[in-house]
Amino acid sequence: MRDREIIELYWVRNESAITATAEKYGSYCHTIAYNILRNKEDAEECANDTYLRAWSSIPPQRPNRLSIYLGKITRNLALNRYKRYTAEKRGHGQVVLALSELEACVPSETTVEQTVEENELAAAIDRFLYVKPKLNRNIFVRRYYHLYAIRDIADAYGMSESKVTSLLFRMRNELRRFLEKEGIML
Amino acid sequence: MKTEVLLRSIGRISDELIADAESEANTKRKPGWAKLGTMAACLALVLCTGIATHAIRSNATAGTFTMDVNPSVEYTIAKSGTVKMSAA
Repeated sequence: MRDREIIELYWVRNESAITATAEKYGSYCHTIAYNILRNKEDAEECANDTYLRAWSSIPPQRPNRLSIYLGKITRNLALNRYKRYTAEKRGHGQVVLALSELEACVPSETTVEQTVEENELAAAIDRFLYVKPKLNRNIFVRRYYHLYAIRDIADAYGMSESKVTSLLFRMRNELRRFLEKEGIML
Repeated sequence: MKTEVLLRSIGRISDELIADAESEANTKRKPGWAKLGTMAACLALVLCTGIATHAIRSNATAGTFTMDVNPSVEYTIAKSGTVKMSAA
């Protein structure tokens, strides 16, 4: 089924939109979540939560690229879950659990200020990436957006791991200098 | 915390950049059998070149000798020991 047709199902509140999304983008969402969580069950739950988020956000949203829209939701959900697990391991269990439970009470997990800050930073990163060679840009995105392992990236591009590592090292330094030049403080 | 903001912000980069990275890596990926195929083709090329070179060299002139008989005859001998050419 075409993306436009799936989005239309969401807009007319037809629940088969979720089934169609799972069929077409289930493995895509699963891969993104799995790269972050490294656990099949958790990745599956993140993918399922993604469909529910899509259901509650379309409408009013009408994504231009459904795959990327879903991928971004999955990535956020997986990062939230990862953060919760890491904090629990550090022994802050109950506070983090309580915060996590209370998240359900607020409309959004991020504040308006956070969203603005992240949007400004994302726009700066866009400007930084667009002037870089395509190969460097794509490797940066696959590492820090998709969170693929260095080895996987090296395999995908037919490069050695050390070459990918040094390319990313240079990119990170260049990004730091770029953000300083733009006056963006983290 | 700062790195988390950075990581979250990268999650908001342009859709075009993400789609570009996804499509490129898929086209560049070489499966294991493709790599083996390339290696096999290279090996075959090296073997063929070796055999062809040997065949050409074995037919090269190793030397000539002339017998003063009437009429005189000249033999041209290949490196393999065979007579390549004889002339009266």
